[in-house]
Amino acid sequence: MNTLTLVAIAMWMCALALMLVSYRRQDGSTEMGLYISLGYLAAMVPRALCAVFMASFATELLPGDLISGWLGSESGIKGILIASVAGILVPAGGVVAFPLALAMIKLGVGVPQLTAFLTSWEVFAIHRILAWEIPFLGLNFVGLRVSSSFMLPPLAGIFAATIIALLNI
Amino acid sequence: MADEQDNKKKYLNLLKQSFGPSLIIFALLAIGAGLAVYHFEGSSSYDRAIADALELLAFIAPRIGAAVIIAAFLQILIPREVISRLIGEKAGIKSVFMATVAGSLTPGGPLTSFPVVIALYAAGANKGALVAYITSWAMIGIQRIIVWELPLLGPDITFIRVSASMLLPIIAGILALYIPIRITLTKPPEFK
Repeated sequence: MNTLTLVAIAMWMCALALMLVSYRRQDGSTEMGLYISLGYLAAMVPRALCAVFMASFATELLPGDLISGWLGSESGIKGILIASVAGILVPAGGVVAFPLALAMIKLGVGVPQLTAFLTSWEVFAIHRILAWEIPFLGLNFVGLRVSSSFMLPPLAGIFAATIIALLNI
Repeated sequence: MADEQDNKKKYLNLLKQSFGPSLIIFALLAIGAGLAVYHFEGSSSYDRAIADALELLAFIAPRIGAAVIIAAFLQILIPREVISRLIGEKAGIKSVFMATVAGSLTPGGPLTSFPVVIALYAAGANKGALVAYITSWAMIGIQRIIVWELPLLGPDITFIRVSASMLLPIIAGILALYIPIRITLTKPPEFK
């Protein structure tokens, strides 16, 4: 049995344990939880379907040699910096970013570069700043957050490269 | 159980939104990409892409059920008050650290996390803690890791990325303490 199967089994055990905890509370939280789960499922399935097809079409369409050249594990700091900028340009949630990340792995993007890319998307996702952060928290907060976080994506990439080197993965 | 009614209404809205124009645009983009592959790369590339996608779907499908259950029940079982209490009114770097832990444990999307920031501000949390909280939620939020990262990217890459990112919210929070930008947060516009 490979690790990925083990992870899937662990996820189901985790899910069952959480359901058991809520069931023992006897406060209607089990029903509520299942209700929300169904809502999530209905919201996710059509998006996940689109995302998966999108990712594999993207793998065919994107210029693989160019991307693995720019962002491959040999690309070092320069690749990490390029990936950090690229992450800002993904104006969508996890449903787009993670399939894209998967396509990038298939195209040979290095893990440190991928880490920088995902971190940059997580910190600077432009749609979240526009739709949530500015209306809720205001421009000053965005300014404070961006000025204290702009160097995090390259740092994440460098840390990832260090971890890979240390653990010999 | 006004709270429950409230929750139900919220999720009906969520459901309505999730089948809105953004899904149609997304589906059209996917179809467009498929046509582009067929047109520019030929039918063998197209067949390969479809086969790849189906294989990936077969891989994800059994995991999605567990993922949504975990996400939903975490959200119910960890109430917002617990998260606010975790940060409390601790000062300085200690609050930055607690906020990082709390941010990672906050389940749910922006709809849950941004109101927490306002509640924390109202409870007297400093700006470093607020920045650390939102950064941690975005970077090492447990729910996104479980729902998206683990199933799609696998445990090895997830492990490397998460361990590389664990200290970063603390760094951002400490920096934010020293950056001279004033923040004043007010009650948000009601979410409809």
